[in-house]
Amino acid sequence: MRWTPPACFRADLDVSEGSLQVRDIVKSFGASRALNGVTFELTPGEVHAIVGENGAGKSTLMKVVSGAIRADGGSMTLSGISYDPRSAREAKQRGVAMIYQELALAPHLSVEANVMLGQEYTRLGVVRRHTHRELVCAALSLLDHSELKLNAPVHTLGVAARQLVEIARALVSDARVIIFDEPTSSLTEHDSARLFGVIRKLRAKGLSIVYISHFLEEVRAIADRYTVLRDGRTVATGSIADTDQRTLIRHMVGRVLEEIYPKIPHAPGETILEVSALQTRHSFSMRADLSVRRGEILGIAGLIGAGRTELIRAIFGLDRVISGRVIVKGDENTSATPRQRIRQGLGFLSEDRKEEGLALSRSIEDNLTYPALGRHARWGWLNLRERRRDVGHFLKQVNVRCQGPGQSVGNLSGGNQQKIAMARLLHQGADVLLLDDPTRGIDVGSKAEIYRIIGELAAKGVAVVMVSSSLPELFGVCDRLAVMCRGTLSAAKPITEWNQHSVMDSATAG
Amino acid sequence: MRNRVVGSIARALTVLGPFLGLLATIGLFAFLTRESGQFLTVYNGRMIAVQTVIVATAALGMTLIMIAGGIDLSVGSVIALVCVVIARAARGSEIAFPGFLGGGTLTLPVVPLIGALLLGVVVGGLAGLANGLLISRLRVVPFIITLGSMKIYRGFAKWLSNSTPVYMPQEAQTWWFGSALSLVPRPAWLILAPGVWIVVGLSLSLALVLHYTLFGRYLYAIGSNESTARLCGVDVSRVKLAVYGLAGLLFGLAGVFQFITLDGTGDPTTADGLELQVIAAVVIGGASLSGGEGTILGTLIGCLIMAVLSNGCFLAGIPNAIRDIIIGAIIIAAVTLDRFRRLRLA
Repeated sequence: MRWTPPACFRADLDVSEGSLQVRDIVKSFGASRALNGVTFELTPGEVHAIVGENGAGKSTLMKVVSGAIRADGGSMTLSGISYDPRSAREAKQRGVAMIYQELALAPHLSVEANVMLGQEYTRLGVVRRHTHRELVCAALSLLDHSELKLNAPVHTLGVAARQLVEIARALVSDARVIIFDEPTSSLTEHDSARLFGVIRKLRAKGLSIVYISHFLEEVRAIADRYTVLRDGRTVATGSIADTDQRTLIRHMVGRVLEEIYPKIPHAPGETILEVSALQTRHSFSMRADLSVRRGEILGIAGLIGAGRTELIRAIFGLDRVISGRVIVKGDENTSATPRQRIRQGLGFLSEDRKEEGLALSRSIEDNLTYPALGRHARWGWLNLRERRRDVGHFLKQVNVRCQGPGQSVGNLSGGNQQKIAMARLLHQGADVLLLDDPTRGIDVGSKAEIYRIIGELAAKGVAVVMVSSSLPELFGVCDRLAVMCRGTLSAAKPITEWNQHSVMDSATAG
Repeated sequence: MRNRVVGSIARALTVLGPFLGLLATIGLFAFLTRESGQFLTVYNGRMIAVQTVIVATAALGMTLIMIAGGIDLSVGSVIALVCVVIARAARGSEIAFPGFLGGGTLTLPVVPLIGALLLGVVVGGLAGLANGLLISRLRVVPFIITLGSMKIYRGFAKWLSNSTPVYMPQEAQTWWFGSALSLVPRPAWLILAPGVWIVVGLSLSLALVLHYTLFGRYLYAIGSNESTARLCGVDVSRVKLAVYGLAGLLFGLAGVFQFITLDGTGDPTTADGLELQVIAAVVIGGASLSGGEGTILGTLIGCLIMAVLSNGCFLAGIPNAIRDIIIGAIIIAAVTLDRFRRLRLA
């Protein structure tokens, strides 16, 4: 590869390049039509948000644009020239780069090697390390993150830093159009704010940014214009400044969504779960006290990596407890296994649906009934007909869109998968729920559904502990809130005594 | 609606695929041997059924393990060990301890044949349990654990037999011993050898266990996503222990069949490399090496495909070398087709 400075490092960037027109894109998978006429236009130097519920076709559209799959019909032009990439490589050569939701990095390689992977500069087959270093340093300083060490293996970095590595890679590849797919889904508010700074910088350089997200607050903060997709079709496009939140949501869900956080009255009863001085086997020292009552929703805020997840995993017995006490319904049993916790009436929702939460290749009914499978069995033999009837009842309660209880969970959209994970807790009959980021990466409609279920459960006297990275969600749903910071959990205070600022202060203090 | 139809066709293909493969293989050899006409005969059908028994019994156990996301490479060694143990028990002989263990000998009483065979099955079960215990306690991947135990069990077999075949005494023979896997069963109304019927019965029961019991559902759950199973309160270690133990019993039974096939010889070098045949049969039958998939019916069809291939190649006069190449190609083709089907389904 010959040495040419990437576009963003040049002063004389041609601002007419990087415009992208997408017209009437159609794409089918087998019998189902994923895209059914998508049209949008990206002008250089803008951040264009693509919003829509899960399954609206956002990801498919971006795969078409970035060359991962080919459209069945429609046309695209990039910088005025017809654009129909046959591979991701071709798209990259034309200047379109994608930052994936699940980051595509080689964990054992260094920052420098990851940035240059697949776009090495060589002389007689030998890598030009000097050029590499120069390029990577230039890219990182452009991103205002020169503090990243070039030799650090990527697996030692946090999620936010890994994302920067990906963005640096796109810059070095001379990208004119950078597509961000749900970039903040695993970032904390703090890191998200920093990422927005980076994106604004790229925009100021004249690059075109496509920004895919469910988070409307975010879209509002970062995007200039938006396009709403629904059922594989463009339903609206316009300038963010001229459109209010309600209109956006109406376009996304196709109906008026009255209230995302339904207010279901519930009153706290007796204390059901008490945790004191809990210490887990973890790199930092953790100390946490909390108690939650029946019919109460306790929120736990904090940055990712502050130990929120580790705390509730330890309570459920998934992580080893070193010291401290866990008392469920007056019963002290600090180092119990998940199996014992389930018997005690605890239910756990994992933050990672794909890796931990669900057995994706198994059916909806299997996934829904695993913790309480014994209820449908006699002497170890299942009554499958009775189970199917029961499962149907729970599917109706959580409003899952599916072909039937026998469908495999892997074929469902993220929102529907999460509803299955919630329905599992309902079926299990848990009366203490430990929810780890229950609405991560799911669409607005499904979120509202999950909030409704949580509210209804609290009204029935279930205690809920909910970890979340989204402050609006915590303020919308919780009765009390505690903030985790570097392994230490603050005292829980009623939600009305907190505001966004005080939460962020506590989360970043110390 | 259309989606649903496509879905059920795809599901039907899961079992139908291997079945069509079997029909195609049978058709091919019927064509290749059309002159001699030896292939499509009742006699040859019985022959194939009997020849499948050992691999099929072991493959049933392997299917359970592979559904749970594991693997067991020690099958061949377990079968050899079981054969040696049976012969030894039926002979009632002395075991010499090597010098570094303090020397000395252990004298064993003569065990009646039926007891010796049962002992063989139990030894298989214990070998499986040991594998399961190591896998669930040490948390080392099953491939490595059973690679080690494959050597260990083979070593035990050689040690117990002084590395030479052990013969069962003539007087220990009973009337049913020879007929368990004979081509023409006694009594004749059985049509197929009793050993074949045992495999059919076991297959039926295991298929029911997989579909209708907690244990069966948990196997699929662990194979599909072990973390999910743990999260849902499944006692993963215990289920794993149980599945390796149960599979071990089946490997023990396969050892019994091998002993019968060898006409009462405890050969410590027998069934070398059998594990690969067994795994191949299970994989051709639609199971996945990464777990969570596989059916008993599929496995049986996989076994039959392998047996028909060997038998057909022999009758068609195709040399062993070519037969190996064909089997290898079929394994790759079967798994590739399966992957393709899955992609279309997703």
